[in-house]
Amino acid sequence: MILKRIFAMEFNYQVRRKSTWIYFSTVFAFAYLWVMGNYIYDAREGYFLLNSPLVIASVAVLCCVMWLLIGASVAGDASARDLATRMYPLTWTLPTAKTAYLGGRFLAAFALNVIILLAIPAGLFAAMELSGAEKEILGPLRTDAYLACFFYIILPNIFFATAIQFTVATLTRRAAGGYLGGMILFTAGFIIAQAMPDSGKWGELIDPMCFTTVMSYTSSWSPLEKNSRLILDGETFLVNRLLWFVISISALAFTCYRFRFRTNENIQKEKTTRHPHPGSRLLERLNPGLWVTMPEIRGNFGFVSQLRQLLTITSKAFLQIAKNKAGIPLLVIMALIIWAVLPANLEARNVPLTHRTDVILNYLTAPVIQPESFWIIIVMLTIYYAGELIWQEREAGLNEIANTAPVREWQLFVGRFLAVSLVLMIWMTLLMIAGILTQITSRDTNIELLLYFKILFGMQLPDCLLFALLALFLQVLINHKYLAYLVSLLAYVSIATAASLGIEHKLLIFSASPRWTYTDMAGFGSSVKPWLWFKIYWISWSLLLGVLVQLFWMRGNEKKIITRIRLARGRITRSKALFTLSVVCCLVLTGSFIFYNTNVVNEYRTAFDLSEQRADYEKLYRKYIDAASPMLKEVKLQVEIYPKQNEVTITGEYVLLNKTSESIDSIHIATADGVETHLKNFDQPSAELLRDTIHGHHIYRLADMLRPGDSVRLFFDVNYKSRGFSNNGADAHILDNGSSFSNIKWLPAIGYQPYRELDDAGSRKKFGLEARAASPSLYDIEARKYAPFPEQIRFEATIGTDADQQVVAPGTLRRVWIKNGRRYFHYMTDAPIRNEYSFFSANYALAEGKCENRSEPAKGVSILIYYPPGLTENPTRMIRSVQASLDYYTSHFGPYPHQQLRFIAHPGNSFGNHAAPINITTEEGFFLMKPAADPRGFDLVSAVVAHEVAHQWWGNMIKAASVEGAGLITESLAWYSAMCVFEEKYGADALRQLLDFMREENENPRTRAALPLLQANDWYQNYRKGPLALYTLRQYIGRDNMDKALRNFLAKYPAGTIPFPTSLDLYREFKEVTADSLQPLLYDLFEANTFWELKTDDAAAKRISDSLWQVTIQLHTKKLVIDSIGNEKISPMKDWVEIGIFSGSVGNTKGKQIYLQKHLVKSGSQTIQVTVPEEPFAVDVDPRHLFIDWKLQDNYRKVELKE
Amino acid sequence: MVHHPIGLVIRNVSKKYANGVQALQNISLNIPPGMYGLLGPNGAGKSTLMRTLATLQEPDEGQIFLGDIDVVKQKDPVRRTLGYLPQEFGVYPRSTAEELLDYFAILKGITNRAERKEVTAALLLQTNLWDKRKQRLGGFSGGMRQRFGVAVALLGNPGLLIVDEPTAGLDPGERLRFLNLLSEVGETSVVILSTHIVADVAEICSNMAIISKGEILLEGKPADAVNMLQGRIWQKLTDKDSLPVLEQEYPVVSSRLLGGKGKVNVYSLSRPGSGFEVVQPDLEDVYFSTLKGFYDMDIYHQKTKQIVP
Repeated sequence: MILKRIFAMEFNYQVRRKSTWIYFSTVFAFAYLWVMGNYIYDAREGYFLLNSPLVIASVAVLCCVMWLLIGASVAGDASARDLATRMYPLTWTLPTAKTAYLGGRFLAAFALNVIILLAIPAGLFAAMELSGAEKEILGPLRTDAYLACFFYIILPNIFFATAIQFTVATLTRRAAGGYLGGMILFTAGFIIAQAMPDSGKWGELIDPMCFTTVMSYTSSWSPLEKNSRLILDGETFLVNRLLWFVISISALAFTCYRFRFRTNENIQKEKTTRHPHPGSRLLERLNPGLWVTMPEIRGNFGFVSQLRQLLTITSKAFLQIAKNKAGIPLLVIMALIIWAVLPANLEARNVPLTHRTDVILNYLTAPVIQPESFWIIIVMLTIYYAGELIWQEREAGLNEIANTAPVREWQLFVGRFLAVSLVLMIWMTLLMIAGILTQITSRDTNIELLLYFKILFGMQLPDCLLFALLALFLQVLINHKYLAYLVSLLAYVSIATAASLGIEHKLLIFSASPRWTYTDMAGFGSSVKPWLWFKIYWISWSLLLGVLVQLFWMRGNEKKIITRIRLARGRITRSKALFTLSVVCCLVLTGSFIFYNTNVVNEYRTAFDLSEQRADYEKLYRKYIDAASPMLKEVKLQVEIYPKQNEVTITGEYVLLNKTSESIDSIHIATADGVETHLKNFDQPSAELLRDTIHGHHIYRLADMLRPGDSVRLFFDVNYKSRGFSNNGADAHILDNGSSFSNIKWLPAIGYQPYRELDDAGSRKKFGLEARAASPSLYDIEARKYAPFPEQIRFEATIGTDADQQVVAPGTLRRVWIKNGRRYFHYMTDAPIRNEYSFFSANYALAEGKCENRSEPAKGVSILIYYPPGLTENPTRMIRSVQASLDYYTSHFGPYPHQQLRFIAHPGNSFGNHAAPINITTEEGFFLMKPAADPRGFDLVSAVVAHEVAHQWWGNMIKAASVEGAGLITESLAWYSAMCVFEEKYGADALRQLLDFMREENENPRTRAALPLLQANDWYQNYRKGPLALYTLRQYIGRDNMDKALRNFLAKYPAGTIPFPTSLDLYREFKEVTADSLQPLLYDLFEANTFWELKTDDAAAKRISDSLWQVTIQLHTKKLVIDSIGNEKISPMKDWVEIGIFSGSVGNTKGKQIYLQKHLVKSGSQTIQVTVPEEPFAVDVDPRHLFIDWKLQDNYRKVELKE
Repeated sequence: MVHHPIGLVIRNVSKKYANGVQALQNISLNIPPGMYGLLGPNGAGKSTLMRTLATLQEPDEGQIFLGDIDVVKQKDPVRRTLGYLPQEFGVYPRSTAEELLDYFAILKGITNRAERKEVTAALLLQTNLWDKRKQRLGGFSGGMRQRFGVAVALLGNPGLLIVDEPTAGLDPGERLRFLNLLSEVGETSVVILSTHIVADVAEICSNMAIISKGEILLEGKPADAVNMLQGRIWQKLTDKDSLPVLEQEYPVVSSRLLGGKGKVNVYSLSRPGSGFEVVQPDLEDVYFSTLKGFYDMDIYHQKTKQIVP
């Protein structure tokens, strides 16, 4: 009964509050906007139906995670209001059991939160069914999806969150404790579960909102499941719900146990205020003889005194938040966690990286306004600190005394701002310590203290401070703690998502700026200047906010807006006005300067503009795709690079050859964006028919037709000058050190360029383009005529740069000379290359090696590694891998026509490589990898190098048509080739490590629904499944047959032949060399998306003679074909599967292989008997994992010995 | 700097709250240096007036001057000479008395370290908190906390000291000491004491005002006001049951129960009836007569005219 009354009291109180309904509307808006702003686009792309159960669940968990932070005051308030309002002497003295008191309050908070989160289904329903979303992307309305989501996800989430928030609030005796509780859960769900690398099931368990689990379904469910499957099962799901239920109940029980109807103050009072002799004290007090004369001391209000007061206010405020458990202690714990996980995060595909300072800093920093890594917690804490600082005096009841003290508003405000700043500086210091400690323990690099200071305090801190100021401003202006929390959070979300809401100009997004970049090789490059201008601009805004904060600072009890405005007007002083005026001047000046740079000097283009331009290009010029066009044959360039001036001038000459069988009268030329192209003339009379510089399309008519076999020369200039900066920062092509640019980006191309077209279905629809698949179908014969930049060209260039830099371009470096204080390089190719090349200019260290060239033994191939000075870990290793690779590929695939093979470092933190003919671009981060320290013993660097060298054949000599399955020819064959190199040159162990590495990806949850390899375009199929399938094929048909097929493939499609080859052509070669008995396997591997499920049910052995054991193996097998939607079809199995038997070795490990034979295995259960000459220990079906089977553990079984 | 006592002038101050309550209605007062008592029932507008004087609230209309400082517009100069003890206040429970007093001393501009030490020590002694100066404020009793508030209010020798119902939580000894302290301050400053305890005013205030429902009903010197009632307060002892009847029949100023008997004070220019005895009036009679409307400024002024012809 009492519980019911307490419940009703609390419920009625809060349900009538505005805040409850503000929360409801906020959650409603979130749910609605998440559907309309995000999922509707994905649905239009065809990923799933808009109202599928998975979308409903995804939006629900997203809203739950957000609500953790905004809705915490419901539980917090229910728990701590009596204390905060000092009502406790009345309520706590009632004859109420604490279980009833707490229970009633908790249940009321729970009920209120249920009401608030009913906004999720309401918002979902409004967005999905009432907003007029097009019929094609909607399935039938499913009540069961809503019910399952509400009862299975939302309701438990509410219970867990309310319980934890209520617990923290009750135990800390403060409503803000609810907010802290929410943050703890948010961290558990959103940060830890997401950030833990390879967390897998643990991540799903630790996440109280099931965010991780539901999000993982978006990648691991097949399209069929995404559209229809209810989120009901899943083992971790249920365990998660149970685990958190137990945690919540325990927390509540503990709360009830610890709670006392007493305040901390009461408890202390009992100890301290008992006077031993009250009588004598009283006498003493009444004795007028003890009167003290008051010293005649008055306040001093000079400027120095004001500064002293500021210092006092700052330190008081600082101590208040620093001593808070969510203050320094929390920050220290966070720094410790970061320190602990730092080494694991300084890895590339699990290969440890050199702990160079810039690498660590790259991990430790992120723009505060982007929700990245742990910085989102710092943002939340900043919001929390701001609320505490503004409200601490009022909550303590000290405000009336403090506010009548003769201090100015600026002191009160600046003191608090400095206090947050100090806390944030301590955070930066902690991060710095974490980084330095990591460097000290790894001992492989020098610690650049100055760089730590520059980046953490110079670049990262200003971002944090700008946001802190915004949070303080909102607290002061809104003058309602929790409402201000909510608005601060919304402000943060809208800042972070401004770009996707269509606001892209950084002059309009608070505190936004182009990102600064730093790498050891290029330094800050040109990224600091634009960053700084934007920061000055936003600091000016913040100063204005600061003035507003002073004007609207709550000094008294006047909450009415009109009175506050009147008071603010009264606070305007001459000095404030002057200050404001000068800040506004600064604001206008920097703002105009930025605008001049982003919109006048550089063209300002939104993502929409860029897409529109591409769409228009297609609409205007696609009609010319089949126009007869000459082909680029020769390129001669005169290039001047001015790294310091960010400038490049190119004078060029193309030779175009008519390879068609008809005469050509007009030539289409595509010019590039971002440079000034001046098409000068042809070597024969011509007329300009069209000049469209906006879309980069030009048409010339030749006076005389270009007859088949004839050629024409085109002369042109291309100028590049980075002028100022754009909204995205300064252009980073030309840097003081580490410049590079490619022909694809800057130089004219011949004919219509299909690669410029928009590919994604949603954008195509938006701009009224005909719907088509992102990649043309494998069976689209027309599409086989196109591949990007496929021409085979002769290339020659003279390139000038600063005297202290080295230029790299394709071909042989014929001559280097100095002229007018500049260094010139003359490069020329010995054999045609594909029309893709880059120029590099930087200070490099060079490692050189030599390799015999089997096709031209006289010349050999020079191997040149241009690496960032100081990073000597990998170049030798790379040279060795190039030598091994070239040797293998030339003897098995065919000759390498060039005399050099180069790897050239490009500044940047990533690890990727890009293989153009002869020259392979390698990101700076690649040189930081330490394969020697890899606990797997795996040499990823050598493997990647072998892969990139293989691209000289697969991708450069043979260019696949831009249709489905192209990745099989480029990426799968390149990885397959690397496996061959490892097998032959690095040994069986190295090969096993590489294969294991390739299979690591199988452990990540992912849907089995996919296109077969012949049509696959996604990363996993191209880079992992494809190579493994090729390897399997090699094991079955033999290396010689593989080599034969590949050689034939290369021979039939010499570089530059049109139509370009597709995966079908490669497949045909495989078919050619595969025996009839293995044709089904070939089909299963490439033509269907096949999975095998191999399992050893039982293995027993019997000794039949002194040296013979008979092993009986029970197998259970299944073969399925899964289509790209997710339909599964059982396929009868009749495959030759290897059975391996191993003798026992030390402990329980698989020992020596004593038997390995292929057996014909059918679907279902079957028994196989073999005899072995040693005592068997274990049986493994398909021990080399040649079949695609994602569940490998059950293949293996220990043998039971029977007497 | 020699401190000249200056007075406080309140002119036509009105204040209406957002919920429609007229807290102050056209209040005008002249408050000379010395102790000034502001007497009134709960909800009379005392605290509103006090907070307005203490720069925490804005009057809708009217002006307030402390000497030549405009209190409404020049808040900072007022705060430099203001001491304010609110009716209710809290403390940081984890700070000690000495720390927090030191903090407020700096806020009040006493930034010189040696001076601050001297002032805080004197105030801690004065308020008898010296022995407790190292204790956390969270463990203070109501009276100790109140004394701490006084110490804060007295920092920097305020020229204007505003104390809002300060004696409510004090025991008799503490109250006495506190009132003495105020008197001492009142020698050189304007001290405004708001209270609903008549005895506080009677004991130490040289001037006073009675306020009810946002209006000033009476302003003057307590002694004069009491004098004016000479011969007008009649008392009758009666039994408890007849009290309601008496209250119907006579202009009753106050009535109280004493051990089953009723004692009634009645305002009348002549003997109101049998059983009534004329009694020596006190300030409490002034207070109740005023609240009940028997007594007002006109009567008070007649009295003063009679005395000074």
